[in-house]
Amino acid sequence: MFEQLKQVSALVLNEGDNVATVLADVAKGARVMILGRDGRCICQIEAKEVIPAGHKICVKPVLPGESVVKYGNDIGCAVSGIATGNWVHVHNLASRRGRGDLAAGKGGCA
Amino acid sequence: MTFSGFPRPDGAVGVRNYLAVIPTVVCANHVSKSIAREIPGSVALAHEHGCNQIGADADLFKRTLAGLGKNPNVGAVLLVGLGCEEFNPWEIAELIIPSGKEVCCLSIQEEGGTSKAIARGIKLAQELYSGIRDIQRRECPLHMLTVGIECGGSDYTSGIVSNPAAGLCADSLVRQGARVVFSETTEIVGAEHLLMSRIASETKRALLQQMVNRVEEDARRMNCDIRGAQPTPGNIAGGLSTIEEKSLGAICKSGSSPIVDVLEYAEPCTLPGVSFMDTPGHDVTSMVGMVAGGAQLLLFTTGRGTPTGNALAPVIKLCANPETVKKMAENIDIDLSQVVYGNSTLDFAANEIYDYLLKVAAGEKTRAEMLGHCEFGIHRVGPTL
Repeated sequence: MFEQLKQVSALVLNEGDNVATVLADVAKGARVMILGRDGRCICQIEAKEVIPAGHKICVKPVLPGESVVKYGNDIGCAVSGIATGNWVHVHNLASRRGRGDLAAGKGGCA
Repeated sequence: MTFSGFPRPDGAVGVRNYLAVIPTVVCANHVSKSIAREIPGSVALAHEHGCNQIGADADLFKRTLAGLGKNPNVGAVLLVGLGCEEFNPWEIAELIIPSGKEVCCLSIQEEGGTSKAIARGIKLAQELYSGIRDIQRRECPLHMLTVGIECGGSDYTSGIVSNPAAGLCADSLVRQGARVVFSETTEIVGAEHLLMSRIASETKRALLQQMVNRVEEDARRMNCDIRGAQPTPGNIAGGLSTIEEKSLGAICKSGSSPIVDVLEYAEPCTLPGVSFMDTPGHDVTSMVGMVAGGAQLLLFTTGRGTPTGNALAPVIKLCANPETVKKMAENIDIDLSQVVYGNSTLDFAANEIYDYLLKVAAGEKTRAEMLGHCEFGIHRVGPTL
């Protein structure tokens, strides 16, 4: 239990990003050290759920329909509200591009 | 800076010295492979096409075969046809001959069947190979290199480390006057605005936009969200959630130099600097497109791990995922995982890639070559009729 809650780090690639990439598996409740590209610690965030290594943790709250930003660029839109510390992945983040399903009236986020 | 390569009659320089045995139609695969098996230094480029193709698809196929024959890693060419297909070997040979290489052709129907065609092919191949066997390497300026950059089996480490490191290496190559080509149109969707800002020519920007539009039109035509195919299930398991995210990481492999050209699949890459080539995200067909465009060497970044090689060009695998470099160690040429943890830098990694690339150009075998990987596939843009 103690081992699982140890601190892990996550990388923010651009100042404007609202997600960071976790560099190891993160347990629910773990303190995640958020690092900038220069390796300096920006802040610490408590993980609200389990996040697999290499996946994204939310570092600024995102409202439904708002853009998730990584590399300083839009990587798609939030399909539900995402709180700081949440796991950001295909369950709550949709592409805006390559969405042939939307033209056919399927799918949600545009 | 120089590298040690095989000089060709047209002034190009190969980093390998192959006799290419090229079937002009799928029906000639067995004969081509049987010939190549008997001749050391030869490679058969078996594929599934060459019959019942029309229009732009037929043009692409022809351009690809000709480009492969012209690739500087090829010293001589044997074209093998059946005899009733629309791309006869002599027609493809016409396109290769201006490069000054020896080219021979063979038709299975004319020879009178499989055994006779193989026997005649072996004789021709022996003659062709004896003409290139003794070509010696010599030091050549780096601007004679065309390096293709591919990414495949991408994950979170690709966009953070291996693609940016490959990009820095691309910048160094460009400073030396070399040509760098990157590809995979699907994997620029969502990041095309960043590439556009590096293209001076309005015409070329418009061409790139058309290529991107086509990918999205295809998705609309199929009524599909491309997610699941792009990013792939492996990409998604590796932390990439959307095509935009994958693309923003993927384009880092092209570095930061201006983009001087936007090429069709297998179109010759002629301008010094970075060019983009319109290929699918399918690694094998993408690399074949770049090799047909003239790339003698390929850098290949991966996160999840892939063994893929190429029949004519050495493929250098770069990987920054610490699990993958352990699990698939035999497939990875350069381990960049220390950069992820801040124990090494992107600049250091880029220098390491650059130095290794020159060694491979001079003959050192890559992991893919040592393991016998020589994947080959040609892109299609039309139906088989």
